[in-house]
Amino acid sequence: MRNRFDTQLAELNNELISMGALCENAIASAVKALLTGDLKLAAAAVRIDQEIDRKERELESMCLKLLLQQQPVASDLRLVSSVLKMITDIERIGDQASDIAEIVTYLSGACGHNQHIEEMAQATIKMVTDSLDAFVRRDLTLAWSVIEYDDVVDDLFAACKKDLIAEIADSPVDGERVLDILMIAKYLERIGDHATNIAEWVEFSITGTHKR
Amino acid sequence: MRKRVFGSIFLTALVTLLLTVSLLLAAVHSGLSHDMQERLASECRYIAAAVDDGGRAMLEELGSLYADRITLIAADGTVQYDNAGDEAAMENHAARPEVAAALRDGVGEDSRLSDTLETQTYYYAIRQQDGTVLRVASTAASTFGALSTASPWIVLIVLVTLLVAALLASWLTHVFLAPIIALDLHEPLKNDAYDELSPLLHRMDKQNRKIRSQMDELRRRQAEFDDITSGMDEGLVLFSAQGEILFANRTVHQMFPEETAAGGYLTLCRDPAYIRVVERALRGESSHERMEKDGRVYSVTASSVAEGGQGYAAVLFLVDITDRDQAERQRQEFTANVSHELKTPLTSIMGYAEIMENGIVRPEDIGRFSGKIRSEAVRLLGLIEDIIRLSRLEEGGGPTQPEPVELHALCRTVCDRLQHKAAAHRVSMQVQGTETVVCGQRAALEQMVFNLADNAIAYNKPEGSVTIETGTQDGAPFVRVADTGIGIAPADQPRVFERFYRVDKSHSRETGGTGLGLSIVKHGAALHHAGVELQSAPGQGTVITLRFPKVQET
Repeated sequence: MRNRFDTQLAELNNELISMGALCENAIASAVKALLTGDLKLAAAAVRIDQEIDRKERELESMCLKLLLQQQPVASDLRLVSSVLKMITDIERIGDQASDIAEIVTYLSGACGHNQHIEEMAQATIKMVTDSLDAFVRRDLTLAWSVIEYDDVVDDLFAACKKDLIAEIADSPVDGERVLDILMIAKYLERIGDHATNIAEWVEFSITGTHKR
Repeated sequence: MRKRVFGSIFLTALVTLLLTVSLLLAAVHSGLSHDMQERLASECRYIAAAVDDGGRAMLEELGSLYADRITLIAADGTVQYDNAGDEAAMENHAARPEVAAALRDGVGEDSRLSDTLETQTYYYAIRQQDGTVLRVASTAASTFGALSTASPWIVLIVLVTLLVAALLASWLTHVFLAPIIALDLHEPLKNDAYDELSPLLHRMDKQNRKIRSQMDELRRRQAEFDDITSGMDEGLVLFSAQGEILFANRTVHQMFPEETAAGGYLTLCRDPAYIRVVERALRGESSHERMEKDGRVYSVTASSVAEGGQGYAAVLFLVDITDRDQAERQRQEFTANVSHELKTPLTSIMGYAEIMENGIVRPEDIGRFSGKIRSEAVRLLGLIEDIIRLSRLEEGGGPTQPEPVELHALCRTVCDRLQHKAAAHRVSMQVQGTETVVCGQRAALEQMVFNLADNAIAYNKPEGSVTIETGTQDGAPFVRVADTGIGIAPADQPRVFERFYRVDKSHSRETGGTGLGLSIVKHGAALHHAGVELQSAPGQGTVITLRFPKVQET
C-alpha cells in the first residue's frame, strides 16, 4: 500500500515537472514568435496551452485521488497540496503565453524592436525556469531568488510602459499596435507573478511555511 | 541460539534435579516406613511375650514406660487396655484392618494417615493365646508433614539450586558457543572450532573465494566502464524502465552542470526534444532529435533496451554537434556564395556576348567589349583557381612534398610580382628583415604571402606603404605584412578569414579579388601549423603576422 503511494507520489512529481516543461515550451515559443514574428511558433504556443489545460485537469484529479485514498501526512501532504496550487499557476502561465501568441498573430509579426520587452521576456522565462528548477531540485535558495527577481520584471514593465508612452507621443497613428505591445508586457509581468507564486509554493513544500 | 542452548541446559538440569529429589524422597520414605514396621513388630512380639509372663500388671508397667501406644483388644473388639487414653470411651476396634488381620491370621499391620495428612500412624497387632489382640502403634510425621514443616527450607534449596543451575547453564552456554562466536568468517579455514563445523567452514571458504573473485571481476568491469565512459566526448545516460537515471557520465555533468542528474529523467533536463526522445525510448522506440541548449546544439539519440517483459530501459547519447552544425551551415553558405560569385561574371560575359551576337555593337566598340569579356573571364578564372587552391589546401596541400623554403627570397619574388600593381595604386613596397627557412610547400607559401601583400596594396590609401618583414623570433620564423591602409573594424576582424566575407560589400567590385584571399591564407597557415595574428585599427593600417612553429634542428 505504502509502496503504491510512493509510486503515485513519484508519478505526481514527474507529471508536474513535465507540465512545467510544457509551460516553459509554451512561453519560449510565444516569446520567439514575438521576437521573430514567426506565426508558426505562435500557433504552436496556442496548441501547447491546450495540452497544458488537459494536463492540469489530469494532475488535479491525481492530487484529489491521493488526498482521498491515501490521506498523506507531513511532507507528503505538503507536496500534494503545493502541487495542487502550483498547477493553477502553471496553467495560468500557459494561458498568458497563449494570449501573447494570439496578439503576435494580430500584430502579424510587426512587433518592432523593443529592448525592454525583449529583456522582460528573457527575465520571465528565467523566472519560470528557475522556479521549476527549484521544485525539481527542492532548492530553497533558488526559490527565494525567483521571488526576489520579480522586482526586476516589475521594473522592466515600468520601463516598457514609459517607452510605449513615448512612442504614442511620437506617432499617435500607431496607437493600437502600441497598446497590443503594452498588453504583451502586462502578460509577461503576470507570468512573472505566477512564477513567484510557484516559487512560494516550492518554499511551502520544503519548509511548510507559506508567505502572506 | 544462545537462548536455546541456555534453555535446554537449564531445563535438563531442572528435570534431572526434580526427578532425583522425588525418587530419592520416595525411596527414603519407603525405607523409613519399613524400618518402622519392623521396629513395631519386634516391639509388639516382645511386649506380647512379656505380657504372657507378667499379665495385666506387666502390660500396664510397660504401657507407662513406652512412648508408643499399646492397646489390648478383646476378641470381640472392645478395648481392654490402652496406655494413651480411656479404654471405656473407645469404640470397638474389631473393624480396624490390623486388628481384623490379627484376629484372622495371628498378625496384622497397617499404616494410616491422619486426617490432616501431616502424621502417619503405623500399627502392628498380634493375637495372643487367650484370643486377645495386642496392638502397638507409633506415630511419625508423614512425607507430606515432613515436607510441609521443611517447606521454607525446600523453597530456599530449590531457589539456590535454580540459581546454581542457571549460572551453570549460562556458563556452559558461553563455553559451548564461544568457539562458534569467535569464528573468523573471512578466513574460515584458519579457525580451530568444532570438527562438526568443518564442512560448513570449508563450504564457506569456497563461497568466500568465489564471491571475492566475482567482486574483483565486477570491480574491474566497473572501472573499465568508468574509464571508457569518462573518456567519452559524448554524454551517456542510462535510464531504468521506470525512467530513473541509473548512470550519467562525466560529459553529461559538464553539459548540465547545474542539474543534479539523479532521480527521474525529468530532473536532468526539461527540453521538449529530450523529453520526447526519452519517453519514446521508454516505450520501446529508438529515435533521435536535435536539441538546442545554452547556445549549443546537441544531437540526442535514445535507444530502448527490452528489460525482460518489464517495459524498456533506455540508453541516451548526447553529442555536441555545434561545430558540425556550424560547419554544415558554412558549407551551405559557401556553396551559395560560390554559385553567386561564379554567376556574376558569367552573366556579364553572356550579356556582352549577346549584344555582340545581335550585331548591335559598332565595329569600333568590339575591342572594348571583347576586353570586358576577357577581364570578366580572367576574374572567373581567378575565382576558380582560388577555389581549387582552397580545396587543395583543405585536403592537405598539393601533391608536392614539403621542402625547406627560404622566406626572405620568396617575399622578394612576391614583391617583384606585385610591383606593377603597387605602382598603379601609388603604394610603395619594401621587403626587410633577415633570411629564415621554414619547411613547407613553396607554392602554398608564395600564394599566402602574395595574397597578404595583394590585400595590403588593394586596401591601402594612395601614397601608402606596404612592408613585408621576415625573420626569426625566439627560434620561430615569421612573416609580417604591414600596411598603412584603411584597416579593419574590430567587429569585422574575427570574420575576415571566412570565405567570401568582405568588409565593404558595396565596393568589392572596384578593389577586385575573389573574397577568398585571407581564407586561403588561413588554410595555408593551418597546413604549415602556423599561427595567424591580426592587428588592425581602422584608418591606420593592418598588420598580419604568420608565425611558423620553431624549426627542428636536424
